[in-house]
Amino acid sequence: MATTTSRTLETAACPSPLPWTLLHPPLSPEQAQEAAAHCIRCYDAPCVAACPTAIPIPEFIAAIAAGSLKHAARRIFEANPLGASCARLCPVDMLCEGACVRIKDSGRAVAIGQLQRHATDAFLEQLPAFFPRAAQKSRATPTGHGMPVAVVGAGPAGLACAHELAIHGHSVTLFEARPWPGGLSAHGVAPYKVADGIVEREIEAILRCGAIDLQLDIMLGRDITLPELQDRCAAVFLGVGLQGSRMIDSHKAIQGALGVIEALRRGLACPQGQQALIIGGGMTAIDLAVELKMLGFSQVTICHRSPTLRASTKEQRLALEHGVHVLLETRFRGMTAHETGGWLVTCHTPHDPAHQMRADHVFAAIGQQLYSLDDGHNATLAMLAHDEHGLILVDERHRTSLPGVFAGGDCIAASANLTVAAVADGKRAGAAIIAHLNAMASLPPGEMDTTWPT
Amino acid sequence: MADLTLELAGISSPNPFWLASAPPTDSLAKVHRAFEAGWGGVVWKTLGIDPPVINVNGPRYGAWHGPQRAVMGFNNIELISDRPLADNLREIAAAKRLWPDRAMVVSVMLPLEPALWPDVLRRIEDSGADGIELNLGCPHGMSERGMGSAVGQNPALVAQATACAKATTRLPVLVKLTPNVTDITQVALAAQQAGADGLSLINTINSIMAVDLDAMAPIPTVGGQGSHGGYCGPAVKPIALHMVAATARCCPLPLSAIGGISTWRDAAEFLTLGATGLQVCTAAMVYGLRIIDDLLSGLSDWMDSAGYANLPALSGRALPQVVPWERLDLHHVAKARIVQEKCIACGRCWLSCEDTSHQAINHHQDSYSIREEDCIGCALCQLVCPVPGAIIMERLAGGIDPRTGETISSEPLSWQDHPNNPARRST
Repeated sequence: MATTTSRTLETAACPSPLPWTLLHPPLSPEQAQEAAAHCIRCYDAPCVAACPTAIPIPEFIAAIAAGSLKHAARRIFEANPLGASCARLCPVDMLCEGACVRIKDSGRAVAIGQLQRHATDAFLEQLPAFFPRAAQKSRATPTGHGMPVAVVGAGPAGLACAHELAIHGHSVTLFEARPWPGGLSAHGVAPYKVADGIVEREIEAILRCGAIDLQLDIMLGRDITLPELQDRCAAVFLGVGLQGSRMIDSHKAIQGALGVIEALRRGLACPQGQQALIIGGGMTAIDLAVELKMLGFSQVTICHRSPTLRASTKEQRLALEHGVHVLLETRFRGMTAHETGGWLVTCHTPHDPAHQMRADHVFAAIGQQLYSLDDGHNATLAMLAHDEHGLILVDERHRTSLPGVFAGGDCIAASANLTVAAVADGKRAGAAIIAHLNAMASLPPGEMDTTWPT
Repeated sequence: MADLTLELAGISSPNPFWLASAPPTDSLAKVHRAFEAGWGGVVWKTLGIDPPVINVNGPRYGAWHGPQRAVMGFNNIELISDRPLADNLREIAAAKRLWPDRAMVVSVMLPLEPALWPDVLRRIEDSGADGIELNLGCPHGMSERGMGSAVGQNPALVAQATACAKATTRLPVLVKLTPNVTDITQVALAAQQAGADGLSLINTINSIMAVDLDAMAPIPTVGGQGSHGGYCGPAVKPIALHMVAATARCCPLPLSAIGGISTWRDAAEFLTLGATGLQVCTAAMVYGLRIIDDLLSGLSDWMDSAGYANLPALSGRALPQVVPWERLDLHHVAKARIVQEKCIACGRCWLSCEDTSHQAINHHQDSYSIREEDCIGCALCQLVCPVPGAIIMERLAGGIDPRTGETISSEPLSWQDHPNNPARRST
């Protein structure tokens, strides 16, 4: 296994050659004050209850109003070490802002996402200082004897778990199959949300907290196996996510939306043409549709089976503003080669059972799935209880059916498929792992175990 | 339409709104603008003896801002007029010639040396002014020189200054009182007994606006230092209302009320507590002279709808209801009620009541309700509630008070007659 330092991380974060700019400008200090004044500091605030990571929202907004931006950032990062990314990526109108009581009396929620961005952007570089690390565990836990905790997958769940373990004094080896860390935040979301490198800078800040050994290009099932990790590590956390777009098996020419977004985000490939059809109705469909419009596609159509899109209202408004055409209650029926090149697509719309349109590209954004269960992954899964889709079953403490093996994020059956929910999973799992290690040491909390075998 | 003409101590003006003695009234150009805008009168910026005072050349104002940078409180370290007496008097005369129907009152502040007074006051008379206002209130700068509030805080000196003015001029003399006293009525009565024709109150309250934590100095900061200054604006209105009411209850002189008047409603409130006329400054400095339109039409419309034909019909109407605590009805029982259709379930009422009051609110899954057996009717919940009308105070007209278990009497009972009062009035 090659050890990767933060130096190689910088080179791994490939700058995109495409001219993405941030769609939403940050709040000015004056705008932040005005936005903060809209918050009335609820007791038992519903916005906090709606946040998977339970960020103390009224408190951090009060800190902004009082001019203590650093304290605001500290409160956010304490609850959510990926608070800066989440401020950009969360569908806030379905979470905190959707629960805001001010909608009831003023018709307008507090701009929680923008305020969170205002506080976290300013203090991202200081994130490590917000988390003074506990003393390195020496004899209290197995990790004190050269046995780190293995965290597999450097997406939001894995990063949050690794961070939680590291700040409590545990050593972590963090494995990532791709050449860069970040998971979907690094390659699966529209670049216009994170064009200022916020995801990469936040990951660097987390790694600077120390004691996390990031190893890139290491895939579970290919380069390492779960039994090997169990042998070498004190505990294992699986935050491997889902590995690909769900495809439409009957039409191999349909491209997975996530793969295209990833290629665009990493500056690897760019679809050419004028017309595109996207099948699906979630955030990924809208991310890709808006990106294609920004790239100059003249006609981008989203077709979705249901009467409403799954994407949040804000995302839908974004699509409309960019001239994305949306066909609801519309099913994809098939496609044939068009005489001018590209495809002739047939859809079943409410008005026309054989509606036809031309498209240079057809993309599927109908969710993610595990890879076609290659041998390695199959072997891993076969060891763990999982559901019929191959999603891992865990209990409320994120324990899998194997002792010492924990899981969270999109790869578990109970996943909410949200960045912020994955962070919450990782953080909770980290705490559960610490409790597990302490229990293994058979000691009351805080006492040294001088008898742990070396 | 209500008659808004004012008659105060023999000074008349087409409406009760005068600009108070301050920067807006220190020159013909500004006073002309004020009269064009429709102000009923001005109290010209305080005149002193020559050579004129020198003001600081750095910041002379400080402000306490509310949401949206609204100016809630305002203070200043400005002194009296820093222009030569003759320049001021020439412009006062010109303003009065141009606007003969408007009230022209001239504020004056002189050392307590009687020999200095006749010349200044006669020249003011000669300018055509309608009245004199003695500035016995300025709490900064001038007070250190034995004038302003240094006089106004001492009833004997107030009487001496008032008598001095009355002996020198035949113009009506208004005495402007400082609020920086323990009991405003003492200085009010001293002025009355010395012959004052009317009172203006309140002048500004001594204050330090804020501290610049980088400079480690008060705001406004002049050359790395700051000084105490006079506080005014909306934040002082409750203090001014109390002092106007207290003065009106004990002193028969006409009152020109000052203190945070920004809207017609503020004006109406001062009138109902015994004010005869009104003075405005901070609101005009913050929002411009145009506010006179809203003050006039708002007051006029409200007086029409409420049935008050003129200012004397309104003046003092709330005064009989201002009573000492011992006369409040202890048999009055009120309970808070949460109007569920308006409640947004923010929980602020619960937090305040549970943490700091009588712990009388139930916290349900998505709502809150009052527990009448614990509610003492204090109104804290209503006041912290961000939604107007979502919590109301309701009187229990009869039956049993669930908190005390006692029958609610319809007969008023004050502390004066309460059995627990050892000094109760015999029945």
